[in-house]
This record gives sequence, C-alpha cells and structure tokens, in this order.
Amino acid sequence: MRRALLAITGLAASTTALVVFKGSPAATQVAQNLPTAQPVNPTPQGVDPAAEPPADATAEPPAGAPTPSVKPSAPASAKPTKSTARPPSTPRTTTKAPSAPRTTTKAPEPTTRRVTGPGVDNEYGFVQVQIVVSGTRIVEAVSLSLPSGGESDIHSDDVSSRYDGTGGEVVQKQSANVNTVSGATETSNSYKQSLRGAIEQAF
Amino acid sequence: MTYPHTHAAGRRTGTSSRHGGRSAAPVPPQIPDRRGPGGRRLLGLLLLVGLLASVLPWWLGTPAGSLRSTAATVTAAGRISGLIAGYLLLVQVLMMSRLPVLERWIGGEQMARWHRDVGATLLVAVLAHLSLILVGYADLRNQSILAEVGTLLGDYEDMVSAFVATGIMMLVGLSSVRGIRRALPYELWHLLHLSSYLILLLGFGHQFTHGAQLYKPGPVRTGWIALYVLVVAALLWGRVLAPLAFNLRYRLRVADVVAESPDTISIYLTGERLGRLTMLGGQYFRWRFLTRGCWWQSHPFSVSAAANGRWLRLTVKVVGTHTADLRDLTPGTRVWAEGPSGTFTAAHRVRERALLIAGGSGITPIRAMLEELPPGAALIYRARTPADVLLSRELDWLAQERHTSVWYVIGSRDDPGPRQLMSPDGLRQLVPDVARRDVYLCGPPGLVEQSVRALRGAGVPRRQIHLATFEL
Amino acid sequence: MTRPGLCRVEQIMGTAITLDLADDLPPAALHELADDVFAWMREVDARFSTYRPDSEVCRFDRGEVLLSEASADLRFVLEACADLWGATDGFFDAYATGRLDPSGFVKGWAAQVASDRLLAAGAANHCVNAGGDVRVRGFSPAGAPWRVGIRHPWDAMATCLVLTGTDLAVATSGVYERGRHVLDPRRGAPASGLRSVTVVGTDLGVADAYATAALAMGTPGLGWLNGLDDHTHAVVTDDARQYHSVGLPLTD
Repeated sequence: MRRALLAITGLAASTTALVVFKGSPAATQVAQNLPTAQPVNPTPQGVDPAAEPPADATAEPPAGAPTPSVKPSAPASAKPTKSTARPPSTPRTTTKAPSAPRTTTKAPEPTTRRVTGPGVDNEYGFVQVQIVVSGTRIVEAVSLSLPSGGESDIHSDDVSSRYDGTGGEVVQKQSANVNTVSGATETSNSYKQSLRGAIEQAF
Repeated sequence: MTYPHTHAAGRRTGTSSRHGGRSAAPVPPQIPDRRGPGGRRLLGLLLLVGLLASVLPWWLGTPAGSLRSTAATVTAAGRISGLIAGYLLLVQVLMMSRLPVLERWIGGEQMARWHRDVGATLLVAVLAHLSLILVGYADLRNQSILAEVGTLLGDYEDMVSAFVATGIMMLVGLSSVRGIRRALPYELWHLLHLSSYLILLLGFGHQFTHGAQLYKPGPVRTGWIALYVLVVAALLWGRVLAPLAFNLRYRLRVADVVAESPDTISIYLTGERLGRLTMLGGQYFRWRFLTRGCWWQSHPFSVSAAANGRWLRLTVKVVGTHTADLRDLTPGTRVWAEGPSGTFTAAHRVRERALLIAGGSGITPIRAMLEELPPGAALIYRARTPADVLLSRELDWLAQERHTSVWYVIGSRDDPGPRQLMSPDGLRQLVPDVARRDVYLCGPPGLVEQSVRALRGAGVPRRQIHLATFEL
Repeated sequence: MTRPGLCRVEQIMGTAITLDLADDLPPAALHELADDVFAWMREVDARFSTYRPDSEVCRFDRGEVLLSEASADLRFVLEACADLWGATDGFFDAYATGRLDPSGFVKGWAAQVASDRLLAAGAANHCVNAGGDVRVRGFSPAGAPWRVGIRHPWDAMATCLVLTGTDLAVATSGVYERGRHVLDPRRGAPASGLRSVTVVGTDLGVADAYATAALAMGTPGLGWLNGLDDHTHAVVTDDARQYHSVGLPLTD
C-alpha cells in the first residue's frame, strides 16, 4: 500500500501544480489593480504623456482588464496594439508610487473622482462598474467585479487557440460607444446598467 | 547421463505411477540464460509516458491564465483527475489481460502487486474526479451539489451509467480490502471482481460525450479510442485467443494422480508436442480441469518438475473442496491451461548461486527450479513434521546430481532449531555467502515474512530476494 | 451630462428588458410611455411564460384551454409559429422540447409590438432591447442613427460587429444562450458549426425565429440565411470565422 499512497500523493500534488500553473496571473493582477491602482491614471490625460499612450488608458481597461485570459493568441495576430496593452498594466502599478505625489500637486488641475455605480446581480454574478471622472469628462470606466463562472470560463477549453486565422476572423470592437448590444443577455446589460448608474450619480 | 526410473519417486501410499518423479529426459535441462529487469523497467517507463500523454491534451488545451475563478479551477482539477482515472483504468485492465508478453516481462506475482496499487490509486482518482466536477459545476450553476447530481443524471447522457460504474468500482475496491476479502468466499469475490469489465463498459460513454478534451473529433479523441481498442484487443488475445491456441496445440489431459502424502497429490499430465512447450521451472499455470464440479474454476498451481517433453506435473496440497475434487480426477480428463506465468524462475536470477527456502507445499516450484539452477545451490526445507516433507527422494537425488545442499528443518516456528536458523546469524552460519546469493522463497506467509526479515538482516539486497505469491 | 428622453431597465421574462426613449418629451409623458411598454412586457410574460404553470400557454398545452377559447395574442403567436415552422424547414419548432414553447418567437414579437405601439403613440425615436433582441427606430439621444453592437461570441464584454440604422430589427441567437441553462459546461449547441447568428429585418419576431432556426441548423444554416429575402445576417462559426451579408448595415 505504501507505493499506492505514494502514487496518490504524487498525482494529487501534480494536479494541483497543473491547475495553479494555469491559474490566472491576470486575475490577481486585476484584483489588485482596479480598486486602488486606477485613480492615478488621469495623469495620461495630458499632464504626463510619457506614461502610456492615452488611447490605452481610456479605451483599453474595460476590454483589456478582464479579457487577457480569454484571447491569448488572437490579439497577437489581429491587433498588435492590444497585445501591448497588457504589459503596461504592470508598469502602471510601478508608476503608481512616483505618480502618487503628483495627485497632491494637482490641486490646480480639475479634480478627479471615482464614482462607483450600483452593483447589479445577474445569473453570472455581480457586476459593478466604476468610472473615473475628471471635471465633466468620463476618463474611463472599469469593471470592478467580474461575473465569475461565465461561459468564458467554461469554454476556456473550447477557445484554445483557434482564434488566429486570416481573413474573416472574429474581431473585437470596443463596446463603449454603442447604444445597445444584441445577443448581450445579462452581462452587458448589467454592465451598462451599472455604468449608467455611475454616470447618473456623477453628474 | 540417464536416470534410472525403477523407483517412482515420492509415493508413500503405494499407488504406482508409470511416469516416475524424476526427469525422464535424456539430458539435464539447460540452465536458462539470465533475464535482466530491462523488460520491467521499460514497461514502467512506457506506462509513465502514457500517463503524461493522457494529461497533455488538457495542458495544451487550457490557455495560461484561463482559470479565473475557484469554480473554474476546481473543474479543471476534476478534468485532470478524470483523464488520469481513465488512463489508470485502461492500465488496470491491461495488466489483467494475461498477455503473454506481460507475463514474461513482469510475471503474475509482480503484476498482482502492481494491480493492487494501481487499483487503489484508480479508485482515489475516480472519487476525486467525481467530487471535483460536482463541486465545480455546482458552483458554476449556483446550485447545491445535490441539485447538481440531479442535473447531471437527468440532463446529461451517459451519466447514469457513469455513476453506476463508479458504484461498482467502489464495491470492487471495498471487497479487495484484505480483511473483507478474506471474509468473502473466493467465488463470490471473484465474481464481483469480474464486474470490473462492466466498469470499463459503463464508464466509456461519458468520457466521450462530456469529456472536455475528448468530445471533439480530432487526434486526442482518436488516440483515446485507439487505446481502448488496444486494451480490448489485448484482453481478447490474452484471455481468449492465446489460451485457445495453447490448448489446441498441446491438448493436455490427466495421465495419473498420485498421492505424495496424506494430504498432497501430484497430477501428471500428458499431451501432444510437449517437447515444444516452453516453460521454466518455478512457473505456474492456471488450470481448469474439464470435469463435472471442476470445470468452472481456474486455479493457479506451479509445475513441480521442469519441462521434459514427456509430461507435466503439478503437486497440490488438499486444502479445500476444489483441491479435494482433484483427487478424484480420472485419467483422460481434459485440462485447460493458461500460462506459463511467473518470474519465480532461474532465468530471473541475479547471481550465479542460489539459496532456496521452501515451506510445506511451497517446495513445488522450488523443486522444479532446482533442475535449472546452476550447481551449488542450497535448499532449506521447512516442514512442521516429517510427514509434511514432500518429494524428499527427488530432492535427495537432485542434491546428488546437481550438487545442491539440502537441509530439512523440521519443527514448528517456535522450536529452537527453526528459530535459531531463521535469523540473520543462523542463516549466515548455514550459508556463509548468503548475501551474494539469489534467495527464492516459497511457503506460508508467516515463513516468508520471517525469512525476509532474517535475510535483510543478513545483508541480502532486496533485488536478490524472489518471492512467489498467488494472491490474484 | 443630460440627455433627452429616458432609459429604463427591468427584469422581465427572465431577462433584462431595456427601453431607451430618445424623444425630447416631457418627463411625465416619457414615464407613461415607459410604464406602458413594461406593462405590456409583463402581460406577455404572464401569458406566454413556460415557467408559470398558470400561464395561458401552459394551460393551452395541457388542454385546459381550447383554441377557440384562446386569447387573440395566443392565437396570433401559434399561427405565426406554424408559419415559421414551414418557412424554416422545421428548424424553428415551438414543440421542439416536447411541450409548447414559443419563446423563440415571443420575445422578439413582444419587443416588436412594444416598438410599434411607441411609434403609434408619437415616440418615433426609441430602442427596445429585450434580452438581446433589439428594435431601433429613429435616432439616438445623441442625434445620430442608433448603433447596435453584436455581442462577441466568446467575450461577454466585447462586441464583434456594429450595425447602424434608423429602422432595424436585430435578433441574435447564440450558443451562449440556451434558455435558462446558459451555463452549460458541456460542449454546446446540439448542432455544431455556428456559434452565433444575427438576423436583421423589420419584424423582430420573425428575425428572432430565423436566428434560432439558423443556429439549430448548424453550418448549413449559413446557406439558408443566404437565401432569405428581405433579411440580412451575420454569423460567427465555431472555428471563429465571421460571415455576413453584403447588405448588412455595418459601421465601424
């Protein structure tokens, strides 16, 4: 029986190692970044153009933050700019420290506030959006709480790496400037609901 | 060198046998060449590679960072354990297929041990797979585990059979626990164990209907199906076709039944083309005597004489109803044999000299092996009373011809003589170079355990100790 | 940031119904219009929900209500489902599950009726989104034609196409939506080949049924969609390829 116990322990340890290895580095990063890290992002607004290209700061987070794990290879081929969007999320944290003092010196700048929309529950979980407002401009919108267990999790096995392909592949567009989404069912509506709620609170 | 065969050896009760107990071959059997452990190691390596290959599809198909929630992680672990369990089940069945090549490389005794270990691991893997998937899915669907069981059973194909297969597996596993197994009658236990084939059948469907790595047509699915086909083919070959070929070729039948002692008999078998039958002394066959009352049982017994081209002999101690029935076998009864199996042979020796320790009826394979070991072997024969000593005349004759030292150690375990001998010092005194000999042990479990302890204490490396067991 | 009109979301029929009124009407009028729309939706839910044992559709299915006794709405829906069954070669089948379940048509039809009523009441600029089936008319609050995104089949937070127009009925059926059992850890749709089908026309109920049918057809559905008159389509296949009709009102 000793050999059997050894084998069982070995297999259990390997299985744990396998799932841990494939676990999401991005998710933990997102969890750490979002509530605390974003506030200082308004710096790319115009004060600190050297930090990141502004396009990333305003457009990427809603799509960039939750999705890195879903589209591992597609962006690499389809949209080179997107693939560089992910690495900046680490530099963002590192630029936090030096930028922090900047907020205090930004007294003469328009004040930035973070407003959190109402949380909306749906079948997948809890969706909550936070927007960063500077003056009267919405600088960015961020998902604070991602529905867990959505199909993206389940179908992660199906997604694999069939995403590349030439011509006719499914592309990804930003969802921020459509009025409505067809086929959205719960999640996007909740997102927009919460987003709308945040907007109404802010103004 | 011819052997006089005026005395029929070993008979104590006066029934004559035409065959005699000594080898009737004109020349002594050849000493077989040594067979290394290469075969076993290669097989072990192959099985390990197979295990890695079965988990590889999961690894390749799961993008890094895609397990974003506890539920996804738990489900992923469930899938991995499912792949492992599926693979181990195939390995388990393959080991029990009695493929001649496996019997040669690993041997029945070693295989039985592997089978037990793999079985335990398999059961744990299946239960882990079941629990992890249930927990993961239930979490994803936000319902209780019980509700999830209901969903799986109700909405998903092949899941009812998968659950049934798990139930059977748990039963089989439970019945294999040593304590419980001893309490069950052998036939019941054996029947229960046969239902393991049902496990294979019932669990097959859900792997391909729902397995995330297996449902899509592609190389992985094809490979997995190919594995199944291979294992079934191996089963068919090992359990049906090879034995059929063997028995049709040699057509064994009972020639004579001789009493060796009040409770031991020797059964002589003849057949056709026995000169071509390759087997080694120390090996065993699974015998099925095709007569009323005996045909539906198959039991392993060692041959008690090396191959001589004229007859086969098995020496059996009467311990139960089946063995008692063997006493009444009439000559001419057809015999269905499967084998030869076993690695308890001279070909598996590591050194050039051997020490053999036999207890009671364990002398049978050892007596056969003695004909094939190099000269200079030593034999310690432990028996409770002088009447328990079997085949003594043959042993004496072999001692003379093969330069074997034979010690008959009579007495119970606690008598001073045996107790003193079965200790590291005692063994070393008797056989000074014991640590440089292959030691072959065959006897009751108590004797075997005691001897192994003494031998290890005397410095005999583990790989030089060979045990014969018939657990499965 | 004020905008004309009103936007309201309610959970009815097990999904989110979003109403976006873009007309610059007084608040009271807007609220009344919105109340009417949601009251209609609730009426449809009460009548057609297969999850309520006392709904008319369930009672009809059990035989407790005869066709002659059925309400006008139920008879209309049944007739429409029968026509659609023929038009889709049986792939749109209200009896597919064994019980009567016209929900593949009802959701879109309800939204269509709501939109028609709004138009009749003088609110010509609106967007009704009933759980993914969208009916837009007129212009958005920003004054531009409505922009309707199509959900990305693999990423719930993204879109893969954007349509624009002032009179569109857009229905999308995807394998990520399978009635209540959306979180199916299994492989997916019964027919393989298509991941998501979007049909654009002028009647949302018909578009909804067509999208559902095409999805169920699998890969051959693409050819069937191609042959439809008066409708355009966009399709994403299981292997992540996208196809759409030439006349689809796409925009960036």
